[in-house]
Amino acid sequence: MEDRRRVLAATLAIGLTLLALGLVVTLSQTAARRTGTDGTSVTEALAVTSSDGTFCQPRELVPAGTGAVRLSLKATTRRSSTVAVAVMRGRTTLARGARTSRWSGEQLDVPLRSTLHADVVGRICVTLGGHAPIALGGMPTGTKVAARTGRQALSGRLRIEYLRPGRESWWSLASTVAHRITIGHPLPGSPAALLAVLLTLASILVGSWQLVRRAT
Amino acid sequence: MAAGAQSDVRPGAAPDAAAPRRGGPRALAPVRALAARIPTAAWVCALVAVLNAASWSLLTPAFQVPDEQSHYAYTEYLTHHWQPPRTRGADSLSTSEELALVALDSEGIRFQANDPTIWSALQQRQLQRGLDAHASRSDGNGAALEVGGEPPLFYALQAVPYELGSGGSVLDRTALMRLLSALLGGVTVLFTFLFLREALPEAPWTWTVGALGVAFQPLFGFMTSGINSDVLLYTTAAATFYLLARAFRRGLTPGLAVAIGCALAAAVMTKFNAAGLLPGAVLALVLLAVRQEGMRLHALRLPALALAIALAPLLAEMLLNATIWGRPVVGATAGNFSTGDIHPSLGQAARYIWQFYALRLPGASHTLSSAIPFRDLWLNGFIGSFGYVETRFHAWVYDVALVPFALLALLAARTLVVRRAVARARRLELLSYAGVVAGFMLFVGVASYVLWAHTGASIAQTRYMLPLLPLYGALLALATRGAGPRWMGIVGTTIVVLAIAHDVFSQLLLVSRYYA
Repeated sequence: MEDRRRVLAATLAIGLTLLALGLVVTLSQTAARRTGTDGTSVTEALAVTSSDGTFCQPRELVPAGTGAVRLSLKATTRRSSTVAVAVMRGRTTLARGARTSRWSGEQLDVPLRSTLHADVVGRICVTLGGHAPIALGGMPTGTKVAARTGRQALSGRLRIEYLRPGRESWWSLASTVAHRITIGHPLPGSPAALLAVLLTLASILVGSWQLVRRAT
Repeated sequence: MAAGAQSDVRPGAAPDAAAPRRGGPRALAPVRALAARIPTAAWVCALVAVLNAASWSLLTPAFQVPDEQSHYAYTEYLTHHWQPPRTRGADSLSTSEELALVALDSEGIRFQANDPTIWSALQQRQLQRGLDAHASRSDGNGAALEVGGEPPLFYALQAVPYELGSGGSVLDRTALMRLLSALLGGVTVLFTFLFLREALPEAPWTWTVGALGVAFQPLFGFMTSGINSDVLLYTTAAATFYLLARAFRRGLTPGLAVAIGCALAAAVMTKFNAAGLLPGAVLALVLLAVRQEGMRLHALRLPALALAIALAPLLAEMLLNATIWGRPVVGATAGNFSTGDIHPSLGQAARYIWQFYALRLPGASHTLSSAIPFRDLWLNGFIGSFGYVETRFHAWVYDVALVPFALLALLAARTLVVRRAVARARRLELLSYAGVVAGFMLFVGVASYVLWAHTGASIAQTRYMLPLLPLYGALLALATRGAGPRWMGIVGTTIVVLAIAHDVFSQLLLVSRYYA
């Protein structure tokens, strides 16, 4: 009878160890992580251009910590293009960056030369160079808030995501995620994320104990 | 690896063995006696469900559980006006709730899998201003169109934590109300365990496997972390399954008939969908009565008693709707499920319901976006579909998950084949459960058809099927037995570990969707 319990405990230990390993592998994967988005969906191409042009989008909230900008730009050929981004408040440029590359996907990450240290409410200007046809993805809005090229308003706003500089694993993002979880909770700044982890761990431990204690 | 009897499980314990040992109000003595007869293992499994749901409630942003803002609004309305909402043409929420929703950017987040919650310092300051505004809490109409026609039991229960948090902000009240939902999730798992104890009495260890499998089911954890009347429907449905199984095992007594009636009454007073449980429950009661007393009219007195108890509160609500509350007699028919301005046809409804659950018919209009709804909507939804159904795993996860689900089905089927003599002997009970499932699925299908006829939209969401979760627990328990005595322990443990892994990675999915 004790042997049976031991076999069950061993099965459980192996299973939970494999789960822990899977978690470590998953959480160690690196990727570009966001500081926020402009809340716009990509429902259509707002413009398709194959010549130089600048598109500016007003009323953007660029979060502190942003070190790169992800644009919804669909390249239909693999010809090289230059994409420059500027974060502006009034006439002042607070951050800028550019990227020259070939890409065939629907998104392009443009790193900024400097990371923003405070939230910025301003506008984002995107300058496209080169002769590759590029579609700008976004969703229809009213003219007042729409992106513009020169004096002409596009049919809507561009989809923009704001990224932290570089690539990070979940481990290095953990404290940031923990802080974000507390926003919108009754006690901002409370260890809500830690409590959630502890509750999940407790449920696993209690469940495992119950499974093994009457395993005979 | 045979699983034997658990020493803390006393199915046939004498009443005096469970008598209260400590002092206290005499009125609580029967409750304590009842609680003492519940095995420790059932309480532990329930605790696991509460802990897990509480964790989900901390991770899930406020108002991102389906229709949470509407269920909160109903409770708020009930608390301030002492009556359920009157169905109106459009929903209006209280200024207090509306300010919180705007500050949380709830509308911008829901349905948008690529848009996270608010993070910036500026948004946090706006949120704090919204929460500190001391705005009116009584000027909404209780989400009258969305949920206002539903019965009031769940909201009456939620009024308790709402009142407890009345000195705080919308978020304080939401957190307290979510805790009540987590507790209800625990009670659901408790009843699931008890159902398994009655339905599969020969393999006690598998009760724990089935109940833990339900406790760690991610969609169940997610739903019981939020404010949604579905949660109480899960509890009342699980209680109904347990009581029916008990009646099939021990016989239908007047006490059990009353208890079944009460469970059904609570279900019917929780959500309109509970009406789908009634045909199967009535079938079960009639089969029980006929089995006991033969084909005599007199035999129907206990089923009639149960049905009368089940329907009494509903009739009282209808009376109050018509006389005092100023609501349509059948509340839900005035909202999205009104049939007044559509022209339903039986053939069209049958085709719709077939496609709603199974396969798209050749040449049929594309009433649903999926070609194989059974897999794409229901099974995949059970594997992982959170938020407003927009938060999903990568496609390969659903393909891989088919393997363990297929193995579970095969092992459970093996048990039924190997023990076919037992299954045959209990065919009336099995027929009853099948009747409950069929009736409930038919009701949800018809409700979806009516909504589709109105709006062209589908309500195919797996959460609507979670009242049938005790049967999922039974599937897990049967699969464990199907492995045979030698492998039962290893297979049962593996099932629970897989359920834990499923739950943990689902929580990670939710975290990555909202916070990274």
